[in-house]
Amino acid sequence: MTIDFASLPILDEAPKKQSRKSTVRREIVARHFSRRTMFKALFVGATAVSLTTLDMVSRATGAYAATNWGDCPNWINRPDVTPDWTNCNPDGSSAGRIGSGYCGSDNFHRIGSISDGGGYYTQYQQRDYSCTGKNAWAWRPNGVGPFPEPWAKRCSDGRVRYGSPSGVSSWVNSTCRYAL
Amino acid sequence: MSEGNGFGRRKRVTFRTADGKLLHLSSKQAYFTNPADSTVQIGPTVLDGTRTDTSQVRNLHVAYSGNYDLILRDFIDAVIVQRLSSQGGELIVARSSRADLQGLVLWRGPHHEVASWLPPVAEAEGIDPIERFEGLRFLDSPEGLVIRAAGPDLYVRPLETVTDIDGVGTLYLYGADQALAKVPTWAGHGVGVGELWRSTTRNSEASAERTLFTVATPTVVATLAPAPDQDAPFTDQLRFIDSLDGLSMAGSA
Repeated sequence: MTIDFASLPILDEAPKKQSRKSTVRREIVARHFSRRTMFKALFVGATAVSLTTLDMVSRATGAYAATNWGDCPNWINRPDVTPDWTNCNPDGSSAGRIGSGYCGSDNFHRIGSISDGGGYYTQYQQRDYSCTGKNAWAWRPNGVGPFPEPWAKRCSDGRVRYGSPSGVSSWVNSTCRYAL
Repeated sequence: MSEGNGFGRRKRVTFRTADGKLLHLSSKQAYFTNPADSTVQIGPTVLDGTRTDTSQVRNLHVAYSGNYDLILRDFIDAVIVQRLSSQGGELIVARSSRADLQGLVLWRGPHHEVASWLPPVAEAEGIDPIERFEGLRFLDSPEGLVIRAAGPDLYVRPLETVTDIDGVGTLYLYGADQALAKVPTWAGHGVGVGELWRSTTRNSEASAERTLFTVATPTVVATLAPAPDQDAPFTDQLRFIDSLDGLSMAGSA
């Protein structure tokens, strides 16, 4: 065993003593975010990709906050969003199943395994990444309509897989929908 | 990604991501025994500001061909309402026989399938399931499914590729160009493939703490989420990370 858990650098907490800079990070920036790379992206017409890239650079200048939680972002009722809004699904094209049944006792996405009886079981994980680098976000009405406004809710992303006497699926995405 | 039941037991694997890149993983000691799945975002290349950005993107889930069979059969009691030949595969629209359960639309190729969930029947009025795959071309191979936009007005961006490591946990893999914000400015612990950090988070006061490990290389950022029954000092997880001798992504999108 060569790696000691307790002495590992912490991702979201800057070392108290002055420490070395990350060489891997410097290499990522040089490789993917150099001026040459950016101009190349712009010249091939990938406008949206370039804007995303700029966004990544600006966000990365601060200390990275690894905590996944909070309102991400705090989505206020928007009349232009599809009716699937009420399904914790801003784009109407879900990549996963949605419902309160995916919530654990803390009302975020469940973790662990639950027997459903008769050889059926469900396993749950929290997803590492979803909404701008976090995996939970809140939708809230703004009180100005259109009415009736959907209820305020938090959507927390995870993964689920199902086992039955005939086999087990691989993981699929799921969302815990919790009424705030 | 590889075929479900035939994935085998290997110390070196290659997955092709939806944008056509090759993701390589190799270990001196550990075996990769599970296929990968991925979530892919499709969106307009130009956001005109007339609608919220998020309302204009689609997220699709890519897994090995047949992955959703068990879910269709045993968990949503599905009725296949449409089955069409499409792009060398099959387009399948399934609705649950129960009004409160979601349906599915799948494109199923010889090696992989792409899925998008549909609202329950009561909420599905006006939604065309086939629109979920509109403007997309699927190129399937044993290594993975490449999704190409049929025109310049759409982009295809893999959000994450995920694979389970037996006895260790779940590995979430990102292209470094998409995941710089996950890499701190201070140095991590040096490992064979790059640098390593740990983090501990919890959702709320009522939640259990969750430890994650982040490994960054010049082309890939990986998060290892230990299996729920694992705890400090995470010997198996750190042994796995230490054993990695390859973690890279290559090729142009």
